[in-house]
Amino acid sequence: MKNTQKPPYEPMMKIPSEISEIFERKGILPSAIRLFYKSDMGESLEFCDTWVVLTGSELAVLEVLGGIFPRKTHNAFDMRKTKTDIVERSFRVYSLEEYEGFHAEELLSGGRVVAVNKDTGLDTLVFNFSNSAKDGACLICRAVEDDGVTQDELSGEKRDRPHGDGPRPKGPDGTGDGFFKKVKSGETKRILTKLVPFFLKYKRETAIVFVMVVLSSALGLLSPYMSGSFFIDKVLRDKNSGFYAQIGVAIAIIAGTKLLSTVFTMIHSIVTAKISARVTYDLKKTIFEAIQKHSLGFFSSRQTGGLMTQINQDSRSLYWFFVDGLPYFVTNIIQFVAIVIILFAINWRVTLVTMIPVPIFVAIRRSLYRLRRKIHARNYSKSRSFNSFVSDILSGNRVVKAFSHEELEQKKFDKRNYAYADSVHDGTVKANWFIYPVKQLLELGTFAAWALGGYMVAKSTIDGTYLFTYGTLVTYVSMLSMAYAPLDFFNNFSNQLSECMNAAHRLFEIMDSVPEVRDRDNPTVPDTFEGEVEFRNVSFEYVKNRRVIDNVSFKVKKGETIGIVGHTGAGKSTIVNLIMRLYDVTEGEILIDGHNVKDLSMSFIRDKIAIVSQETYMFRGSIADNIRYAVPTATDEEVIAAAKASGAHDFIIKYPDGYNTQIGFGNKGLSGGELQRVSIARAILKNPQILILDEATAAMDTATEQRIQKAITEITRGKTTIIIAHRLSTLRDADRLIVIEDGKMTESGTHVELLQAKGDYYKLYKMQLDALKLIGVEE
Amino acid sequence: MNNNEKSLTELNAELKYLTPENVQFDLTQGGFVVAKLQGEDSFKRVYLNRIFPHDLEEEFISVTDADSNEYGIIRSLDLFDERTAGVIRHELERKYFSAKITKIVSLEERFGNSVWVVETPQGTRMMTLKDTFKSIIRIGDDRAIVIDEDANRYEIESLSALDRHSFRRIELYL
Ligand SMILES: Nc1ncnc2c1ncn2[C@@H]1O[C@H](COP(=O)(O)OP(=O)(O)OP(=O)(O)O)[C@@H](O)[C@H]1O
Ligand SMILES: [Mg+2]
Repeated sequence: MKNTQKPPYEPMMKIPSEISEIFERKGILPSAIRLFYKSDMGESLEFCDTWVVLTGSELAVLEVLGGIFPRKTHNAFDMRKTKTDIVERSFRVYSLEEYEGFHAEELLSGGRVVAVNKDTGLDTLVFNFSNSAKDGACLICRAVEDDGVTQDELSGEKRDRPHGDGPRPKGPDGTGDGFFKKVKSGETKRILTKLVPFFLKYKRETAIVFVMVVLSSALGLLSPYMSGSFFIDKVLRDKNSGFYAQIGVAIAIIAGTKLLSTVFTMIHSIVTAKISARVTYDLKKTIFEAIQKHSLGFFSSRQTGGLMTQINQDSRSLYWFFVDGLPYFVTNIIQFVAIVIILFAINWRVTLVTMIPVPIFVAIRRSLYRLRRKIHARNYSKSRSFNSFVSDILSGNRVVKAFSHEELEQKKFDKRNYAYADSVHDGTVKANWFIYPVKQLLELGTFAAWALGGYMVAKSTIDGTYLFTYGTLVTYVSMLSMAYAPLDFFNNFSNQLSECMNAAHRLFEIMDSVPEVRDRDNPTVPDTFEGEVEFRNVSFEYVKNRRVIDNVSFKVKKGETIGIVGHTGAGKSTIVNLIMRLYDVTEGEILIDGHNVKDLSMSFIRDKIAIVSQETYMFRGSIADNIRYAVPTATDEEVIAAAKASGAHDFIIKYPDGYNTQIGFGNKGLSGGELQRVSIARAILKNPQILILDEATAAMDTATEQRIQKAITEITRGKTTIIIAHRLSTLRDADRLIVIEDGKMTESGTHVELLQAKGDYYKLYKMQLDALKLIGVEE
Repeated sequence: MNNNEKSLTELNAELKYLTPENVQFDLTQGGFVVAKLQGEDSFKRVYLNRIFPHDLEEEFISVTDADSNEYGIIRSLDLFDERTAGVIRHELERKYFSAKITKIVSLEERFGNSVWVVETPQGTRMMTLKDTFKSIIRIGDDRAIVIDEDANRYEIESLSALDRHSFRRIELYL
């Protein structure tokens, strides 16, 4: 718009020379370009690079074919790109003399920038963009009017994302989007490394289990020797051995080792049982803590049932790893190596043959690992969906019954139940397809041992070379099956390990991802608190592309009582969510006492503000517990005083159990208005500097409402109060009113001013008045 | 049941339908749909919304102004002449544009997230899905919508029509 000469800046990213050459040919010199931006969609909605440059007097759009593309390989982690020559496709110029009002229109999967022709007043398409390029498109529109937009903002990789799209996994480099850049090979290793601290936490437990497993398997190793070489060769045959014909002693020794091994196994089981509960408890706690620190956006984008699955199932998988997985894994490896050495020592020729299936087995196992992991991920997803469904139906049981939809829900239940069962079944079937043939493969080795060994025993008996004795063969074969046992274990281990890796990954994802709303480093904690709230051009969206609050500005002075009115869904509750910083604004800023809320410590804000929200929620426990939830240290007197002020006291004392009456479990037992009164008591108890009442008295009759309001006014004298209400009579005591329509603030002022303005508020007022007249109530 | 049906027709009467008799649609030079309603003397820019975007593409089209105030509903595009229907269809296709996946070139998954390279009539595209299982929404038996981390939508019109390799890549997530 303005032809002001801007000082040269340091661009973060340059326009590629091929592109700037094309612009230059069109008469746009690099020095004239104020800002540039690359969109990813062409005029007729195909994916192509669209370069948009803004100069002092015009906005030019260049669509090109070619450029940099993802390679068409079968590996999406191949981050190499294919580069092709750039060819101009179309070029358009919009003179800022001719066009105005550049704005982005949101469509389903992206949008388009539209400008208004000053002469004809008609909208004109400027360029298209996909959601991935949306932020820049909005910025470039703003830049037409606003000199303040910088190239840094435009080229800034991806700006801080708004809420709703969940936590972002941190990349290996610790930044937001790098997750996929380096994951290819190192990921499993990375997770294992991160499990080490957990492992150290349980090192004592794991060590005990480990020692027990080692002892009992060492004894296990002895038993083939005992029943084979020792018993057959030494006791029954070798007349020179000290044990010859000492059958009683031999049996006693064999039985003794068996018994000892049983004792070790028993101790191992007991120890495991003891620590398993502790480790699971601890893991659950860790997962729960990780989940808790997240902001509201995280929870609303996930189903509670799903999170429950996560806490229960993942803790089990992780537990397995520490107690049943790792110790056995280590001992099995040792055992395997030891046995193989012994086997070679007994007879290396036979062993060479019997070991042939092993590498084949290992190769197959490795390829199975990835398939298994996917199957597990799918089972997990199905079980999450199943659990979410159940938790949903059980908590919404009242509605189900009211519409007598039990049968319908039963059908839906069956469907999910079936889907889950089916996916588990499918996984098991797939697994069995592989497991048995693979096991059979190992059996081949045993047959080979019998055949070769048997031949050697027979031969040595004939020519007396004693290559192989009968007893050694028996030992050999049972040793061989013991060598295969660890392999079998590894087979299962990979299965379990994949489950555990998935669980660990989910845990680390939650633990590592930075909550969307978080304190900055060294947040400000002011000494005093006045209670001034100011919105400056605040915009907000819960989900991308749906603006719920649009450029709202207002100021609430200390001690003022302000009312917010507006149609349902206008964004009133959202405004208070933003004040409490349950979410962060998308644009603009919110100031409390002149500090940006993002700079203030969150606990400080939440400490000073109390909110009675539209949805009341009671925890399991007594009424007194629920009121005290705000201030756990409050005395009984304070609890009662708060309940009295909120009008809850009157009905509480009617209950036989008084303040000890148990509520919770879906708020059974209290009426809507009663619940609201308990909620208000909770907020009052906090003695906040700012009190927010979001439809806090909507479920009460007018007389009760008035009484309670009077009490509240007494208490909040000199404190900032924000009241949201549909019933205008609720806002009688408000000093000033704000009218919100469709996320925009359309009016503000006192009741009288707004009536005189004859705007939205006036209409609302008239409507409520007319409604009263309709039923015969005159003013 | 009878009662129910009656009340439904009564509800029906409250919907305002737009027909060739009470509205005129046109296209501006800039390529946007405008309409002139019965009793008004000028064309105004209108916005079109499919009411059942998954099931009915050319029926139940809600026509609104920029602030989502509804002028009325088009019961079916068939009611209008070819040119008008074409204008509306074109705008709807633009608004509900989502690239159709014709081929899945690669799909690499790590812990629930996945990176895809897909081919669409609009070109090759690389995208990332946050939670693969949740990001694929089945519609009926054969259709699916894929939503990437930036909330871009892609459509697979027919799963069974995908080539064998593509189908194998996506199969596990269905
Ligand atoms: N967690 C959420 N995720 C996505 N959208 C949301 C969420 N919460 C609210 N919205 C949307 O934001 C808009 C404003 O909601 P808000 O709760 O602020 O309305 P309100 O003015 O308080 O309405 P009411 O008077 O009915 O309480 C609504 O369109 C709603 O659908
Ligand atoms: Mg609300």
